[in-house]
Amino acid sequence: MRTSNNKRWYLSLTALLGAVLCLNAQSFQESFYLRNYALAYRYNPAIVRDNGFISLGQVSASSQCNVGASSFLFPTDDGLVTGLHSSIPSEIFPGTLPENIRYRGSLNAGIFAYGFRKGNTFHTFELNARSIYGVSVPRQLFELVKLGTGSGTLGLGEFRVDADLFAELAYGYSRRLNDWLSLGARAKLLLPVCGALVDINRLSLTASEEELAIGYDGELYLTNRTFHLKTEDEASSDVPSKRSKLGILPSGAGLAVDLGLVATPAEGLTLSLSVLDLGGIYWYYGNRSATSGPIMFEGLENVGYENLNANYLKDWLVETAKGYLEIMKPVSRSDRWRWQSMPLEANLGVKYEMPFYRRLAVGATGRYLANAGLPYGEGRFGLEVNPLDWLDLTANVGYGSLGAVWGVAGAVKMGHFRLTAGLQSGFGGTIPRKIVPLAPHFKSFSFGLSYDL
Amino acid sequence: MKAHVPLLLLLSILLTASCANQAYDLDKLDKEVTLFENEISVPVGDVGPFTLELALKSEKIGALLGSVLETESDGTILSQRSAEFYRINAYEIAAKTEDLSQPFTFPVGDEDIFPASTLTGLLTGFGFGAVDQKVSVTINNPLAQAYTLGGSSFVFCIDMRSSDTTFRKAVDLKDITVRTSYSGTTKLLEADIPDNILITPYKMGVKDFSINLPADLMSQIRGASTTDFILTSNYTGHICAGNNLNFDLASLIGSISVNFKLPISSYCLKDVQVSLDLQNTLPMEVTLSDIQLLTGEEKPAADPNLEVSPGTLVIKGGSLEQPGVTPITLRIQARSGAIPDITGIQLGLKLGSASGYAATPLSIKQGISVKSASATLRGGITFSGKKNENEQ
Repeated sequence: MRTSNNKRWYLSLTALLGAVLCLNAQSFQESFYLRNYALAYRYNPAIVRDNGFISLGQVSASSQCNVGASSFLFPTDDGLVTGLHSSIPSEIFPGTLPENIRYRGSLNAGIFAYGFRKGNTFHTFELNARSIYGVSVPRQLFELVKLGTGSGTLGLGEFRVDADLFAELAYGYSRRLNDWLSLGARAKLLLPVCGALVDINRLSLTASEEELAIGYDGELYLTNRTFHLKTEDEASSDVPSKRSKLGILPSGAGLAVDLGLVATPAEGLTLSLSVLDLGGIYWYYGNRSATSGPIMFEGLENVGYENLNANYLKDWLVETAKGYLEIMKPVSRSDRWRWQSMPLEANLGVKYEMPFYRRLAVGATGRYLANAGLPYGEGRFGLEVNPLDWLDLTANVGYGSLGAVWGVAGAVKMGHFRLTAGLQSGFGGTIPRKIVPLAPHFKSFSFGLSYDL
Repeated sequence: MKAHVPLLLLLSILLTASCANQAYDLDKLDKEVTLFENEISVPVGDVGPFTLELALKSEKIGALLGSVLETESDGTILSQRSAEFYRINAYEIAAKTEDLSQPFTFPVGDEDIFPASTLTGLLTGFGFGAVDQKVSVTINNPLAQAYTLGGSSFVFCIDMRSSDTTFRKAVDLKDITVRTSYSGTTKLLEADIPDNILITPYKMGVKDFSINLPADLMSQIRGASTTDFILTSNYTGHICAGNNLNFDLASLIGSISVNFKLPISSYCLKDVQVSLDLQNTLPMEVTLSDIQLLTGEEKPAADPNLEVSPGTLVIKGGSLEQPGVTPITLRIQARSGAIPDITGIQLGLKLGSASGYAATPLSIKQGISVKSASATLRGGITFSGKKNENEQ
């Protein structure tokens, strides 16, 4: 019983930490430096490649979080403890946490990409599966757990969990206008599959000896072609829970464009400017459900003396919790349409190939991500070397709104095949044998194989 | 190749900067967590009731009263007793009479009895009372013809504190004819004791009693199941708290222990304050004293490390229709360390009269329940994170 309880607490804490800290990965900035990288048009659609390519199975992911594991774990003289250990004062935990703990992640699985050059133009076709997701947890939640409530009402800020899955069908066109300027654009048809958003924008807890009252005001969006989100009134009605058997068809449509410019004003000097994911998705089969509280908990109800034992109380609490979850069912449903903007990304880069050794280049890049709730900006200085025809390496350091960052990437060419991998992360170290960063971080990862035509 | 040097240097710096920090090795994580360090109050709700019925099933009280108490369908506790207090055989009368050829009077004299049961007597000795009291005296007729009586029958109650007679009833028996009945009886006295008199009858019987018998007595004895003349007292009543209840159960049977199991040691609680409304449907004031919490798995025993304050609680009386409500704040503190697993509670129990409820009959459905209880925890709830050895 005791261990089972403990397990539950640790699992909950671990799940929360995992949700906040787990690795994910965004646009592959190092592709600005890697020479003749097949998918460089994703970074800037104006980049004109020397020759065509086919790519299968490119994967990239990114994550951003405004806290790291060191915000929750604390080394002490007696060993490593969590912020909920009694030796950690509340001024440290949760006192040093940001107002909202925010995490954003994205995943891009490239199913197929094809590009070919025709004169001064380059054309690309691409099919990707993409996912964007995020979590926002208020600091007050940890204050509640760490310190308790005292008496009165404790505002718990807002909770937000969102996740979208969609397919991306893209066509890219770039053109070298003259010796020093190229322009490019990609049009991306976005075909949404499923989207979900839980947004509890008001949550409060009033604790007193008479009752525990949870006040909440939340919205739930569940967007997909297949399922109806039933409201409380519809739960027992004939409203079908499935609206279509054709669940694989898109649940709406979207359009986004990437725009880019590449200039080479002097020999060896390259300037890059791009704006990515300008657009959004119209989710069509959207359910917007609203629900609001309060939920009152007034304790046990006439527990008999004979029932006064731990097992009965545990079972009763589980049943009570289930009952309250029932109460939180949506009470209304509306808005079939839902518009969602894509997280806009803007990139600026400059690099210069050393005249004494053209296989060595230095440069700088800047990036801004308009992520909802967690906008991110950074600048990096980079170095690239192409010592052998089949090997290209690059590394960079910089500083972003989530702290100091670094990145490395490499490409290996084997005949017509080109293997590329890159990693971006932050300083501050990680948990041993884990990939969880200790500090707030921007982290991304990219890996792919292409075939030069 | 020298151009590779800065790249290698940069890579080295990055690898160093991004390496694992051994201070954060999760294998060495102390999993102890303490929640709600300042204070948290939570409603606990309603628990109980702990009724007389449950008490009668308990080891000590049940052994004392469980087998002798009778209850009505509505749960009220009934006391009843029928007892012979005089018996004489017709042959014995004949032997003591010189001339049986003529009608004659057989003198009996004074006979009496304490009509209520021994238990009722015991309870009234502690100050309990009785309501709805009904008494009667009966006599049978073993003869084939009726007979008459002489003398009187009586019943009376005495307040033992003041020696005042609070109730008295007497019946002149000269007008009573005991008719032929092989199985039935004739009432010599019947009385309902008023409900303002909560004490049981002190004595009931006959005075200057005589039986007027027919001639040739022995020839009249035909077919009856007995040849005895029997005087019987009958008593029924419902136990109530009475006006002078002062029943210290602790002095009689010691402390009462109630065993249950609350495995809270793993939470490392140090200071728990429980606020509750005790709802009492017993028509008496209940005093709980020397409250101690029990610990220990096999032989639960009072734990001197646990301080329960206040040690004495007085709960006012009420009824099933109108329970008495007593707000109480109970604080449990561990003098050192944390509060271990609680395996029961031990307390002394004292019952006293409650104003306005003296004549309310006791029912096994009455008892004490906890309404609107809440718990305030100070110092946090600690989960040790150590593996439970009992769990695989």
